[in-house]
Amino acid sequence: MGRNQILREILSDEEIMDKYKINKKELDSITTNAPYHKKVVEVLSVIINENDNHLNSSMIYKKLKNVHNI
Amino acid sequence: MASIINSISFKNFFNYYGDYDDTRYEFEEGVNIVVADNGAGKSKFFNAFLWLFYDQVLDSDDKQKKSVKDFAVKIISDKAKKETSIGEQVQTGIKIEYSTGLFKYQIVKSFTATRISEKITDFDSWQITIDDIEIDKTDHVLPKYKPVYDADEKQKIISKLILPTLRQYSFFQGEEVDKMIDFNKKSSIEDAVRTLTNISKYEEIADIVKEIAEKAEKDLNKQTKSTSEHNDRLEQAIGLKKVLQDKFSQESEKLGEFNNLYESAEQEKNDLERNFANAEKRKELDDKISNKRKILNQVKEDYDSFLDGINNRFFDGNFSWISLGFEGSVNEFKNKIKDYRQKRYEKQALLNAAENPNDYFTLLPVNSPDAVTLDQMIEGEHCYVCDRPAEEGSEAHNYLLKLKNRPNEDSSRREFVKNDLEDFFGNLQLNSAPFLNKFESIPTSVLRTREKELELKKRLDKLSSEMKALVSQRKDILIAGTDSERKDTASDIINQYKGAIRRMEQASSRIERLQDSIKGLKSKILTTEKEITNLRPKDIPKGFTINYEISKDLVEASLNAQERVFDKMVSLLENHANEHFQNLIKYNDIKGGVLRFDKSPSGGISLDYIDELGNEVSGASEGFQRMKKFAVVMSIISANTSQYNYPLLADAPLSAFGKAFNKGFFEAIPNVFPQSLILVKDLYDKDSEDKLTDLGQQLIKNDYIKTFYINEVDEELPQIERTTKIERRK
Repeated sequence: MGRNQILREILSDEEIMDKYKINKKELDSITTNAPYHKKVVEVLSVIINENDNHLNSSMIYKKLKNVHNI
Repeated sequence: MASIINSISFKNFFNYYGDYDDTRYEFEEGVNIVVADNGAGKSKFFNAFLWLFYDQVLDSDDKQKKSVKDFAVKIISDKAKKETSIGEQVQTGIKIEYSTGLFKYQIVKSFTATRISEKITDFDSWQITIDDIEIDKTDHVLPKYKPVYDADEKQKIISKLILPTLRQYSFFQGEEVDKMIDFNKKSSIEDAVRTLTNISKYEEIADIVKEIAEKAEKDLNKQTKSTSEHNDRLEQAIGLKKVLQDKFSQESEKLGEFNNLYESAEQEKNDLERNFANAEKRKELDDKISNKRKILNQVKEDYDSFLDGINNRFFDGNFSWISLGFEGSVNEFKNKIKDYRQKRYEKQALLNAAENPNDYFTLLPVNSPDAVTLDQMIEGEHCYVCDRPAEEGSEAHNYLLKLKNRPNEDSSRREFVKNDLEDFFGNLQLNSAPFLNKFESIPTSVLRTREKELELKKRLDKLSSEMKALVSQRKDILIAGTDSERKDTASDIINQYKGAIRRMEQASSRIERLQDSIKGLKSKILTTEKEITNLRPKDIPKGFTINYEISKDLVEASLNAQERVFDKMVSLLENHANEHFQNLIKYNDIKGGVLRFDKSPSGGISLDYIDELGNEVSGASEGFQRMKKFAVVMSIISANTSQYNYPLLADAPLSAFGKAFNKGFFEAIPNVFPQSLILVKDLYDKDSEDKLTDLGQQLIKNDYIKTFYINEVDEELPQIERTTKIERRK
């Protein structure tokens, strides 16, 4: 609940919603759990989840590179 | 499920003399009230929880918190100390029972004191051993207490009663409400928001996202270099962006410094304003103390000289106290002196007769007739004694002349008694004359003197206690205001104040310029970024670009989210605070206005009370100010999304509130706190038959008041014998 709330709060930013085409309905239903339908949601979810697992930014970045296949 | 305190009992703890069973309060969910006059155990009760949470107690003499071990001798009941012989031990402790949804706990904290010498109040006369904390636990299904041995678990059980971070809102004494929410400090509301929200999570995420965006940009730039041919314009743009970003960081750092400067100057200004008020209050009190001291000294002198003068009243003819009880002696003296004189004359006459028998019957008594009569007789040539003529030259005339010229008898006087006391008794009679008519007035005069003495003593006592109160008020100001008894002159304060305002202005103009410069840099960075994006070769793997794009967008979004969450919480707190405030002032005459939280330039939150037109309402009483803050405390608790699970423990929260506030307070607290233990004096009325004020009598009938106790202490007894008696009324 806490993680989803943070995720939705950050993604509720007007510019983000515009740019990544997230509508209000979609925003209310997204969670930090897979499957993810949008990259931005996946990236932020990984950050939120892994921060809770006490991973530092370098370790989280490695995971994000996997997300982007780079 | 909320923590509910089921009971508290004391063992030889201050005035709570006796074993745990003798001094036990039982409480229920809802509002519980303990009413007590000064000195009847309110603060001692509160001290039990200070001991439980912090191993400290509050020394009521200097209002400082002291460690239980150092202060132990004062904690033991005086009566218990007196009853402990040298070599014997006495135990002092507190026992608290509380339950949560699943378990019930019993916590005992105690120490044992061994008396080692005579003077019971001396710290050196006792040897103190702090006993192990005993905690027992049981579930509600099979209520059988089992001891808890693990030290960590014991600590957890104590903490769970009221969480340490929430104690500031849930465990306090009257005037602490003022300090709880200090709107002069930027951090006070921030701290509350932090306690209530997960804002620190947003901060963590914003930091991580920023670092990730930097890494993503580096990786993207690396890819740019490795995949494309040499491109000057792109390299320049990347270089420019780096320069701009460095400048941006420097300016942001500076902005932070100036914000801190502004904040500290603002803090100093606020402190000075408060100290200035304190300095004025202190000056006012000093003047009062000085005047009172003069009067007190004068009355003291009057009293002393009055006491000295009492001795004189024994011998002063106006009072003649020495003659008290000698009323019968006057007649006795009269009779005796009559007898004495009679016998004396007889003796004298007998002697004369024996020595000169022929003259015995012709001689007149000594010194008679007197000189004036003799002159008349000589001049008139006639003896008035025997009424015969005494012509000049006759024997009779010669005798009169002889009598007139008779030598001084003293030298020729013959002793006729041993130890002639005639003169002595004569003097006695003469000296006692002033006292003789005073007998009747003496008892009245003694009574008046006693009355005067009592009156002076009463005046002296009254002045002394007024003086003591003023001195203690002054001490309170010192504790609440400055730490030391520094003599701030008004001009020093004004200069410091002006200095603080000047620094605020300087910082404020720098902040504005820096904000402008940062804004400019930001837009330049954005333009440069756009240029870089356009210049980037198209053959870079897509993942690198998306990685950078998303993380860059999330940096801004996470910072915005953080700010939104903060603002939302402040606005929620404002709504809750207003709701509670309206409930608290329900019975008060103050109507209309609302509380408003405003952001100050330094980012702090100020609390204003404004009327319908948006004007600030000022000049409200101390009780009103405190009520405002209490409304904010209640809002901090009720704005919490989950139910508040801890009791409210408050000692004298109502002091300075006023009757109308008090009623609102008791009605409003159950809306926020699942259980409240309120220790008050304000409902106590010594002169009323049931010892309660009208409000106390009203409250006891209300359903939301679950238990109601009255503490009483026999003030007639000497301090050492005084014990608190607990009477449960509901």
